[in-house]
Amino acid sequence: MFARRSRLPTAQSPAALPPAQSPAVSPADALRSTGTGVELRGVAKRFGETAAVAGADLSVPPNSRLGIVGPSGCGKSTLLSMICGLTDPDAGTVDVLGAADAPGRLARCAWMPQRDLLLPWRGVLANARIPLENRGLSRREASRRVQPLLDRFGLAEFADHRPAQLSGGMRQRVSFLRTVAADKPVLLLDEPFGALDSITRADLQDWLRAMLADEPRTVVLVTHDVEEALLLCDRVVVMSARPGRIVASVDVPAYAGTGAAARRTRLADPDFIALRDTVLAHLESAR
Amino acid sequence: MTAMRLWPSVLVGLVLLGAWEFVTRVLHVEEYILPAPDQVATTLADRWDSTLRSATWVTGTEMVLGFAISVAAGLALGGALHFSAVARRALYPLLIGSQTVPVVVLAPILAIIFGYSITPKLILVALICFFPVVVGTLDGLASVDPELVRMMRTLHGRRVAIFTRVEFPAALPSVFTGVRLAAAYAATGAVFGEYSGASDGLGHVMRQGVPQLQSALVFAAIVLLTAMSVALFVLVSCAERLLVPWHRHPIREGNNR
Repeated sequence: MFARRSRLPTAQSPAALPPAQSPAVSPADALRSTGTGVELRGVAKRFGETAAVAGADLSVPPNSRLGIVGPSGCGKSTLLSMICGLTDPDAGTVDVLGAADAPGRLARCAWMPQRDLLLPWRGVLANARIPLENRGLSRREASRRVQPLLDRFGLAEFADHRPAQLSGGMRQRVSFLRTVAADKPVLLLDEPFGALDSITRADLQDWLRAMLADEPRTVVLVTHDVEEALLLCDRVVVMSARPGRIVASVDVPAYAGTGAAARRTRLADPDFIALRDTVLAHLESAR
Repeated sequence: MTAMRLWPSVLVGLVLLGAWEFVTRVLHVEEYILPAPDQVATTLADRWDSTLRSATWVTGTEMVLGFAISVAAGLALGGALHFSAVARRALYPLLIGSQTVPVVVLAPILAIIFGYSITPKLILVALICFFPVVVGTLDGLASVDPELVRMMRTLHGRRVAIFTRVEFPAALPSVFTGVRLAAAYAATGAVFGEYSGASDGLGHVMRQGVPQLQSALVFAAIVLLTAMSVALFVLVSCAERLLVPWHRHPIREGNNR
């Protein structure tokens, strides 16, 4: 983290940022060079009398995608905040690409919650460039770097629209774009598509899959949707009801192609159906 | 505000003025008891150059300066109380205490200390006006969605960036609720100050006019005072529309949906 700190602070030194021609999305190499991905050992968290998470062990290799499914209230979101560095566990260790302290984890993790959390007083472009402004870039420079992402996310013509003028799916895309612009090697997605209708959700899942295929990142996806986890991740773990612990882990073989057709083929694949049934069975016994 | 939206209140005002004029004429009410609107208007025009212009200027200055001080102090204090829990525990009770001191008794004391100068008026206006600003600021900052703050922390946001980019803008609608109240109170503060000792100002004109039974002059001063209050209020509303365009105003637009 100290490598990053020295490279990226404050308004006085925008020149210390990565060269302008490097795209805003390439995660800083200093942060991803470590061999380990995300490692949780014996992590526990209590809120007052309630044990939210009890003894969770997890290991996510770099650039792999882990799905966490579990009954609601099982501590999935708490787990993500702990990985993220927004909260510290009461017991156990969390290691993100070699950083075990909360500020270090915070520097390495991008977090995207179910709600889009866009700032209503900023337009699409201005919302998306917040992480770059926070790192000390001028508004103009930040806009210039985010602009290519806007095109790629299909939001270019909405650059000046306020969030209130956008559909739920578009807002979520802006939120995701902002997360990507933060340029972190680890993505923590907390039911990112949970609030959307099923068609929009399927679109965004395909789109996310295509994006991650282009630019692999370490991803932890929390969801209550088993299909979503199996479509997007290469490993899915099941958490038990509170206090949450990991009760099962299923490896998901990769599938070829992107888009709606590939998704439909995948969903109809007997192996996929068997896998889904396995996870669902684990979920039922985990309640 | 468009003319279309204003006309009901204009109509009500005209009807009231007409009724007032009618009653004073028909019942032959003496001018010193209740002057008719046309008598007030004549006095306003006649005494404008000799008395009312300078008085309006003096009171207007007190209102605007006192209001500006109260907004600045209110924002600063609200921000400081938001950042420090210790300051909040130490100062909040005092703040409430400051509002329980009756202005009527405070005004003469300030006049004794500071004389006929503008200082006691500014203190009074600021004292009355800054409380709603502090409360509005503090409330606004306290009710910012904590998820937004968490989100900013994951997006390289440090404390200052979080305050300037998220907390303060999010608090603005609530801040403006306080500022609008302050704008409405400014005239009261200025007049209280002038009542307790002044050589000019609309409050001074009223204090002189009442014992001389110059009721029309007193009413003219009231008209001017009201006009200035409304102007200040409109100014604040314009600033609000400019700075908080994303916020749908519930009172202004709520029932048109």
